[in-house]
Parts: sequence; C-alpha cells; structure tokens
Amino acid sequence: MLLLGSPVAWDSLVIQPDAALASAGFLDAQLLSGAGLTSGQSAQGFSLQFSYLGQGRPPELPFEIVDANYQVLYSGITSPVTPVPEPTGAALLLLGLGSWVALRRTQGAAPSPVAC
Amino acid sequence: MRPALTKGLLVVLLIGSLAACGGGDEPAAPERAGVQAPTAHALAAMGEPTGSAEVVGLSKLSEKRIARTVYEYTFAVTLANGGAPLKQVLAHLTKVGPGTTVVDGDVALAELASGARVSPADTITLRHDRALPFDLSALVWQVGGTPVVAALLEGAQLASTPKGQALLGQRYRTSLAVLANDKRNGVSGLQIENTTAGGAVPTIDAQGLLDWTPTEADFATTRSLRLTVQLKLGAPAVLFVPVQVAKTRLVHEVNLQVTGAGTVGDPQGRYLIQVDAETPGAPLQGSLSIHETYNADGSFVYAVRVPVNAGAKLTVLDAPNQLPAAMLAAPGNSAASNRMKRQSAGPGLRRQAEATAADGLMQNIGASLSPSTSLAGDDGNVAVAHTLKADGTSRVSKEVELVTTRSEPFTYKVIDGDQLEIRSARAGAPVFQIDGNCNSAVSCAAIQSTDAVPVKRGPVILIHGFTPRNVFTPGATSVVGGGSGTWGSLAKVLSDRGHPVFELRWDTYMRFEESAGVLARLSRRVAELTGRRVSVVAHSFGGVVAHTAMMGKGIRYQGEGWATVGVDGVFQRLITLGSPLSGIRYVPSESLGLTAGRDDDDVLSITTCGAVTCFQAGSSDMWDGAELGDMLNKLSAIDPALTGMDGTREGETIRRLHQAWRSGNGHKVPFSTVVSLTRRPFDDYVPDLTNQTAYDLGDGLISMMGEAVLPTDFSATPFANREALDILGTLGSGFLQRLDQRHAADMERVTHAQGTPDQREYYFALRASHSSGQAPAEIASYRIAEYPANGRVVAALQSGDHPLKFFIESPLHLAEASTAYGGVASTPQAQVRGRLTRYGAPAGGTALSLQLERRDTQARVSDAVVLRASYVSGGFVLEAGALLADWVHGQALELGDFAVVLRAGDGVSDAKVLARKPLAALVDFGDVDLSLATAGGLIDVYGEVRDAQGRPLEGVRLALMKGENQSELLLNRIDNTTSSRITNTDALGRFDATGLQPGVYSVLLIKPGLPTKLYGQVKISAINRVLQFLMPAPHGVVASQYWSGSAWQPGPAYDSVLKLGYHFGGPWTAMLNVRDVGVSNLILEFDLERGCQNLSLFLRTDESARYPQSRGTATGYVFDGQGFFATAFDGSGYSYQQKATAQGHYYIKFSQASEGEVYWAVLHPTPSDVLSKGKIVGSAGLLQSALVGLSATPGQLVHRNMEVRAEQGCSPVNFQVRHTSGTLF
Repeated sequence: MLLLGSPVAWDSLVIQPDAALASAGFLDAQLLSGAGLTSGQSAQGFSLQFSYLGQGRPPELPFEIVDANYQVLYSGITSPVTPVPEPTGAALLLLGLGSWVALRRTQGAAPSPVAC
Repeated sequence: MRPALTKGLLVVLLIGSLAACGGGDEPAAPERAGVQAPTAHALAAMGEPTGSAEVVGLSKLSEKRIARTVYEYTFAVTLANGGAPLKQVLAHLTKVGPGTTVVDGDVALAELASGARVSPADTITLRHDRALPFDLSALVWQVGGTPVVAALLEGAQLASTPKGQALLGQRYRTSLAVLANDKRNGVSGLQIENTTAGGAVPTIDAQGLLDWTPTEADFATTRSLRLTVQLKLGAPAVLFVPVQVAKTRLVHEVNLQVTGAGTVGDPQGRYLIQVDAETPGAPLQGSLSIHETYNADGSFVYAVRVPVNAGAKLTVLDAPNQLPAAMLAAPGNSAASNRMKRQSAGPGLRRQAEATAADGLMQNIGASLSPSTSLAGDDGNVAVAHTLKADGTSRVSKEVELVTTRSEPFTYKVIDGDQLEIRSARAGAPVFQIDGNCNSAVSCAAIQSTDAVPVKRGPVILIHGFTPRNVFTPGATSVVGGGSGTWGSLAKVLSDRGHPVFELRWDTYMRFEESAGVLARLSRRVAELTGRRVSVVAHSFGGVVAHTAMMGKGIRYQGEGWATVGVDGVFQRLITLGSPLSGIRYVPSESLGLTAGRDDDDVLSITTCGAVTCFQAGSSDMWDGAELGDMLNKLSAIDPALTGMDGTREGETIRRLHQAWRSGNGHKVPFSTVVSLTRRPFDDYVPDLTNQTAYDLGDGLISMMGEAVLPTDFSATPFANREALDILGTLGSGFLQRLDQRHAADMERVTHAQGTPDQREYYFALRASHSSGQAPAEIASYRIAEYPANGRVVAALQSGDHPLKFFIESPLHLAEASTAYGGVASTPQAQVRGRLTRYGAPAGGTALSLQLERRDTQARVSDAVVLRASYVSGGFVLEAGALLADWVHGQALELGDFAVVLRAGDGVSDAKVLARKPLAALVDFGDVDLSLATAGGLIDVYGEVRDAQGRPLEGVRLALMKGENQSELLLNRIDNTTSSRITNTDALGRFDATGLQPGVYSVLLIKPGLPTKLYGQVKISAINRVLQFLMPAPHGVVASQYWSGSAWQPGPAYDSVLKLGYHFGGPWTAMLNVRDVGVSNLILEFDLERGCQNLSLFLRTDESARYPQSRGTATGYVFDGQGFFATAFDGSGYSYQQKATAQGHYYIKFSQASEGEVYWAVLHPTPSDVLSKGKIVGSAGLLQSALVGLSATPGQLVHRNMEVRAEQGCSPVNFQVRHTSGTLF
C-alpha cells in the first residue's frame, strides 16, 4: 500500500497488513485543524495505490470515522471503485487517434491511392 | 460537528480486503475496532512441546484500538504438556518483540495432564504498534507448574498361599512371597506371630522363609499366623497366613514278604492290602507302613508305604467292609506313597472315647484324644480327662463346643464324631448342642444318635433366631447362632431341673422349610431317645421354623428329590419368644425398612397348633420392655417349677435387642434384603437345592416363581451382600436388562446383560436376612422390571412389601385358608392365556373371568378373576399360580388336580362357561370365539354407547331386563341372571353381556351428569346381538340469574305468582347465565304479545379458554322484524337489538357445529319457520356457556322471574332457555 496524495489539512498515513496479527492494513487520515466537514461537504484528494490480487475489480472498502478516543462515530463503505485506465492503454489510444487524424490530414492534402 | 471531535477526527479506510497485499489469510470482512471478533483467529503454531509444558499456539480473540497506530489484542493461549502431569500451571510471557508491550502476560491453569493440549479460559493481552510488524517468534514464554504425584499406597499382600501341610511336631518350612501394594513403599521387614495360646512360635527371615514346628495347641485351633509386614513408609501391614496343621499317626508297620498274590493288614483290621504280583514268584519284600494324617476337623488321609517291586500291584481294601476300595498304582520307588482321602468313616472305623469336661470348655476333643491325655481349657480352670476304649484310637469329625456352667465333671461319649452324646455324671441332665447346619449335602448324622438318653423330665429343644452370615459379621467363622449368645443360662436352668436340653444350631441361611425339616427330624429322634414328647423353645425366627415344622412343612433331601418331614405329633409344647408370627412390619422410613413383628404377634392364635400347647412370649416388638424372666415364665407350661425365672441370664444377642428397646430407640432389627438369582428353570418349580449356586445364595427365605407375580418394584441392598449381586452379574450374562441407574457403577455388569444364557426362562429369588446387632447399613433400591428372555415384565413383590413378610406369612398362615395374606412363598407356576375373538376378529376389550376349580369335585377353589382382553389383539394372560397360593398350600395336590374355567363377562358366577382346561404350568386356550358361545339357547350381546355427538361414551351403566318398557325403578334393582344384567361400558364405549335369554328387553342407560335414557323395546336374539345406544345430551344448567334495573315496583295486577310490576327509570336487564358442556345447542324461547320497541336481546358466548382471541372478532347480525342486525359490540360479546317485532312466539337457536362454527337462527312463529339464520363469523372455539338476556326501555311492566310483560310497548315475554341436541340446521 502506498499513499499517493492527501489534502493539505489532513495528516494521512498507511498501515500495512500484518499477517502475524491477522489484521488488515488501512489508510488513516486525521484532520489537523479547521472546522472539519459540515453536512453535505466533502473532502477530496486522498489517493492510495495498492495492488489487488483478487479477481475482477476491487470491491467496496469499509471505512470508519472515529473521534479522539477512537470510538466509531460512523462507519460505511466506499462507492464502487472506478477503475483507472492504465497509462499505456491511454497512450496507445491517443497514439492511434493521433495517427488516424494525421492520416486523414495527409489524405486530404494528397489524394489517397486507395481512392483511385 | 462539535469542536472537541473536530480535532481528533480520523477517517480510517480499512483495507481488509487487501490482505493479499500482506500475503496473509485474513478474512474478507475486517473487524470493527473495539468489537470482539466472533471467532478466534489462530495464529501460526508456535511448535510442539519438547518434553515439558509449553505454549504452542495463540488465537486472537479480539482487538481494540488504543492509539492512532496502537491496538490492544486479546489472545487465547494453547498449552501442551509433553511431560509429567502438572497442577497449578502458570504460563508467563517474559519477552516480546519491537513495538509490542505486555498488558497481561500470565495464563493460569488448574491442571494439565500429560500429553494434553489445552486452551484455558484465561487469556493474555498485548499492545502493539501497527507501525511495526508483529514478531510472533519474539515471544518468550516461561511455563511452570507443580508435578502431580500419585498418592502413595499402603499395605501389602501375600502373593501366594503357603506350600505344603504343617504336621504336628514336625518342622514346617515354606516360602512366603509378600508384595507391597506400592513399589515406592516396599517391604522393609517381616515379623510373624502365632496368636494361638500355647502355640509354637514361628520365625520368618527377610526372604519370607517361614520356619515353624506346630504343637498340639496349634493342631486344635490354629487357622492362621499373623504376619506383620514392615513397609518403608507408613504403618505396617498385617496379613494372616492360612495354615492347616495336621497330625500323623502310625497305624501299622510290618516287615512284609509276599510272594505272588496275597494280602496284608493292620492288627485292628482297619486296612486290608491286597497284593497282586504280576510277575509270579517275584517276592514283595520290605517294610510296609500305614500312616493316618488327621486334620483338625477329624478328616484324614492315609498313606501306605510299600517296598519296591515293579511287577506288583497293590489294592488297599477297607476291611472288614471293604469301603471304599481304591487302587494303588504300582510303586515306582522304594518309598512310594499313595494317599487317598476319606471324608467320612465307615462302620469299620467306629471307636469310642470318653472324657470328662467342666465349665466353659471349648475344645476340639477328637484332635486331642489319646490315652491318659489331659487338656486345659482356655480359662485355665477347665480340665478334661478322658480314656479311650478298645484300641486306644479315637477320632472326632466335628468341633464340639461344650457350653455349660457346671463345675462338676460329667461324662460324655463321642461316637465316630458324627454323633455326640453327653451323659452327665451328676444329677443334671445333659446339654446337647446339635449342629443342624446340614443340608442336602450333609447327612445330619448328629441327629441320628443310637443310644437312649436317660431323662427324669421332658426334653427341651432350643432353637435360636436368625443369625447373620459372616458376610455381615466380619471375622465370624460360623453361620450358625445359638449357644450362650442366645440362651445365656437358660440351658443350665433347664438342665439343673433335669430336662435334657437339645440346642439346635441351624443355618439360618437355609430355606426355612429345610431348617424345619432338620428340626422335625431332631424332634422325632429326641422323642425316640428319651421316650417323651418334646417341648420346643424358640427365639425370634426360630419360632417361624418351629411352626413351619409343626405344620408338617419341613422337607428333607433324599438323594433324588425332596420329601416332607413331619413331626408326627412329638411336639408337646411350643413356646416362642418374640417370634414374628404375623410377619414382618415394613417401615420404609426406617433405615433398613424393617422393625419388628406385627401387632398381633403376642395374641396370635396359630390354629395349626392343634393339640400342641402354643405360647407366644413377648410382644410383636419381640420384647416390648418385658424382662426375659417374665417371658420365660411361660416355661411354666413345661415345668411348673420354672416360674420366677427373673434371675435367668439372657444371652448377648437377646440382651442387646432388649437394651435397644428399653433405650427408647425403638426396636430396629437391621434387616437387609438382597436379591439372588437361581438358575432354576421356569418349568421346574420343585425346590432344587442340588444347584449349589442357588443354595449358597440363600434360596431359603423366599422362593418366588418370578412369573407368577405381577410386575412391581422392590428394594434391595446392592452392597450388603456383594456375593449375591456378583452372582447377579454373572448370571446376568444375561439376565436383567434394565436396573435403576442410581447405582449404575454397582450394576454395570447387570445392566449390560443381554438375554439368558440358554434362552430358557428363569425366575429370581429374593432373600431377606437380618444382621442382628450390626450397625444398619445404608439401603439402596433399584428396580428389576424387564425380563428380556421373552419380553414379559416380571418382578417380585407388591411395592412396599418386604419379602420377609411374605415368607413368614406364607408358611404360617396359608393353612388357615385365609385370603388376607399373600401366599407368594410357594406360588405354583401356572400361566393361563388365550385370545378372545368374535366372528374371528379380536374381541378387544371384552371382559372375561377365570376361576379355578378342583377337577375331582368341581368345587371352586378361587374367586373369579376378571380380566379384559387386549383391545388390540383380544389376547389375555393370567398368572394363575397366585390363585392357588392361598388355597393349595399343604393340600398335597398337583397343578393337574385343578381346572381353569373361562367364562365371558365380568365375573358373573353363572355366566356360560366358554372353556375349561386342566391347570398346568402353561394353559393355552388358543382362540376362543365368543360368537359361537350360544350353548343353552343363551345369547351373548355386545355393542357400544355413544353420546349426542356420536362419540364413544365411557362409564355408562347399562341395566338390561327382559320385558318391554320396564320402569326405571325396577331396572335399577335388577340382578345378574340370564334375563337381566348389569354391565358397564369401557373406555371405548363398549359393553357386553353374556348368557342372556333371547327376547325383548328394556335397557336403561345411566351416567352421572347425563339424563337417564330408557330404551323400552330392545330385541335380543341370535341375529340381534349387536346393540348400539345413544345417550342424550346434558340439559343446560342455569348457573345464575341476574336482574338489574333502576326501579321496579309491583304493579296494580301484582300477585305472588306472576309478580307483575312496573319498571321505572333506566333500562332493565334480565339475564340467565347458562352453563353447557359444549356438546349441545342453545335455544332461547320467548313470546312477544305485541310489537315491542327497543327490546334488545344479547348473547355473549364464553368460548373455550383455548381460544381467548375469538372474542372481539365476531360480527353481529341484525334481527329487524325479519332478523337481527348488528347494533353494538362491547368487546366482550355480541349484542343484538330487536326492533318492531311481530307478536308471537320466537325461538332463537344457537348451534355448535364444530369448533369454530356457531350458527344461529330465529324461528317464528313455530320452530320450523326460519325467519333468519347465519353463522357467527370469527368464532373460533367451543360454545361453552352463554349469557342471554333481554333488556327493555323504561316504563315497562315486567315479570320479575324472567317473564317480561309490558303495558306499553313490549308484549309479555315468556322467557326460557333450554338445550337440545342434534343438528339444528
């Protein structure tokens, strides 16, 4: 697990899974200052990278909001994970599209031998 | 959001499903922090134990977050023990890895067995900073505990019995192997001691070699040597080494020279040795000697020592009678010794000895008799001098106990040891002690003395009471009682008066009939010897034996079977001292269940005494505070001089019983009951004591033919006589299948029994015994209820009855032809069975009666026993032996002398006989068809009675009388003849009546709570034999009346009959509370003379309590001229309001069709005209009761007694409620 990004006001850390304790790993983010989140407000910018060894897409992940005494105030699960395309695939797509546009432009400047 | 929370707000995104990232096997659903996990997570095993207790595993039970990265974990610990058992085990966690701290690192466990792997309830708690990985291998444990050491056993035992036989005057050496019970507590030394006074001192070395030269005293009395085993730890163990001291006597020695065949013998002619030389001419030459080696009981073996001659064969003959002959093998060496044992002497060995004895002598005389030998008694004040006649030899086979307080010497004579006579040398009469401990295997030769006893006064026989076997008396060696323990100085008193005293010492573990046989034989012999009839004085159960003998119930085994032994009128008087002649009183609350005899013991008149003068001295409680002398004054019947016997010293047994009574502790005779089994088969109910097992276990007191009695329970002591119960277990290889499990440990072998050994049927015998003077033992009960051999249930006694009671009742009372006593002691085995059918089908539930009669006279010898055939199969079974028990005892009749009579019906004496068969152990009538039983023109009828709902009705009494429409009064007075009959229905509503004349009958059906029903014309004939009757439904019962109104006063037309009056003020209500039994219908009738406004009728059903919810769910119906309409509902019933009704008579009916179906109808003006009808919707129960009533508006003139008469508005109402039956709609 690797923490890629965290909002400025939040202190985030990643705890790795521990097989010896049969305990899962987790991302822990603590609001350092400010008014916190009001109703309807959201905080964005948390970015976590991990390797998923299962089949299909990773499932929803449970999360908890705890107070200073680590008592759970709220618990829930995240929205379904939106897969992020791999950079290589996007590059290939852009490359393909670019080649196609270039080809069209080329064919517009000079008659295509195929069209003959 | 509150500021306090804002600062510490954390968002934790648990990535439990990403466990694969860490490479573990964690569950997919992560745990919530602070919540105990539902299941434990096993961590990696920490290894196997390496020879001692270790922690081999952890299982996480829960985790709780403490800080941002710190969690607190609770673990269960698994301990394994590869070493010795430990107790008070403590596992302590001494070291942990980085990031981990110990909150609670101790686990305690009470004990940890060797090889065990345990997870104690105690847990450990660790805190770990998740920023670091948890290092399981870094945990270091320290496990300790206290080793469990088995308790050190004490004691030792002899590993073998001594070898060889100790001979008087000869050195006896044998090795004893002594083993300590615990190897850790080994033998450190041995000491041996001879406790016999005057006996030789033995020695024993450290290796157990015993060295001993027994003396004359040892020969007389020594049975064992006391061996003290010193142990390394604890107290020494004391063992007893059994020894048998024998005495050898040289009978004859001669220098022998025989050529060819020949004989040689001793000078007295007691031995004759025949020599058959197989090699003719070869001389048999050398020394021949004959030795006799005696045991202390008088038995002996003889040894013949002959010279060598391989070709010779010797035969030792018992001259002069040559009894018994025995072959000796050819001797193979120069000192060949061949031994043969003879247990009893033949006539040729008859010798006589004479001696004198004095006070307190108890000696084995025979062992000591030799010419001019003097013996000293134990007290040093006794001298015996005797001389031997003839050849100077003597032998006594019995140990003779002389108990006398006389100081004068007297002369006695021993004859062959099998019989004993004592002839007093002074004026006093002799006292004989007769060992009656004889049974089928012993000849009771002591009774067969041949010399007359000179007497001046009549002989007296003393019979002691019940004496416990040595199993109840540790250390005791005899099973016979009597002696000074019972009689004290009584024998002396009698003797001093010149009465020869014969004290019979009987084995109270014999069956009483057999003991009675011994007494009968002794009595007849004493009468023969003395020439006089005898007086018998008996204590306690000895009195039962005496009465049994007097009644001619004594038996004697005669080789091939048992024969009755009578007393032939030699009894002159019988005086019993506190004998339980009425049986034993059973008191379950007592520790052992028995106390004493019954209340009428002291006044009981034994009718069988006849010409014998019988007295019972002492009360039912045996002593009842009376002094012994008072009771013995009854002896004045024997001798007028025997009055004023207060100075008579009682025996110890009697004294203790007496003291117990006077101390206010009541009179607890600590009886105990044991159960023993005999291997006697079902079809052999003749007493058979050749079966030693049966006898040893004491088939004596009770001989129950198990299948002859009904199943019930009885109590027994599982440990008071382990011998008996062990046999139970042994036989139980298959005998009893189920016992109460309260003492499962003791009964284990029994409870696992399966089937009988040979699949035959057995019965079990009950024994009752008592241990006088012993501390009461705890009693425990169990049940014997199954008889797996044939599936039948058998047991012994009625609950609460004690077998001893039955026994005593049986021999003493059965001859009185009294039916008040159960005669199970000798109940013959006889089972009657069969199957009743009717037109070939099982006649289930039909009553029948069985009765016994004599075949020769056809006299009925028993009351009729009424049975009812099985409802399913029609079968019936009767154990008929019990019927005979009250009558046949002592009649010398066999089973075949009786017949079983089978009649149909419930005990009608003149009912037709269906079948008659000779009584046998098994009488099988087979199928008996009632439909064919029309002999004599009589008819058997049967049928059933049902109620108004068509259900079978139990308990209906039917009176049948020939004739039409007989009055009920007459029918209630009929008796049972062929033209009238009383019978009752069974649980299925069935009845039968057998043996009726054909014709027209009146049948009256009576059942409490229902109207009596008379059927006046019931035809009974050969084709009209199946009858069916219906009983009417019960009438409604007006349980209460209710009237409410604000004002009421008599009207102008008031009279005392009609009670007319005016009603003013508020509404009025008249109600009847009607109780029903749920089987009938409810009818409400009333008259309306004119239209009545605002007259309400309401009905509230009180339905079955099973359906409380039925209330409040109904919908009312409307009666509006043409019918009811729903008007009000108050939650507790239904209310109907009537408006503008027409004039006339109305019926409102409610009918219970079934559960949950109640119909109503309004009928007007006749019961056949239905104005309206419907169903009470939602009714779910049975109509059990109803509250019906009318209410009217003010100003109406009403009848007080539920009649409503209105001047204005409402018409007069004739209001009544009744029930009916049947289907209304």
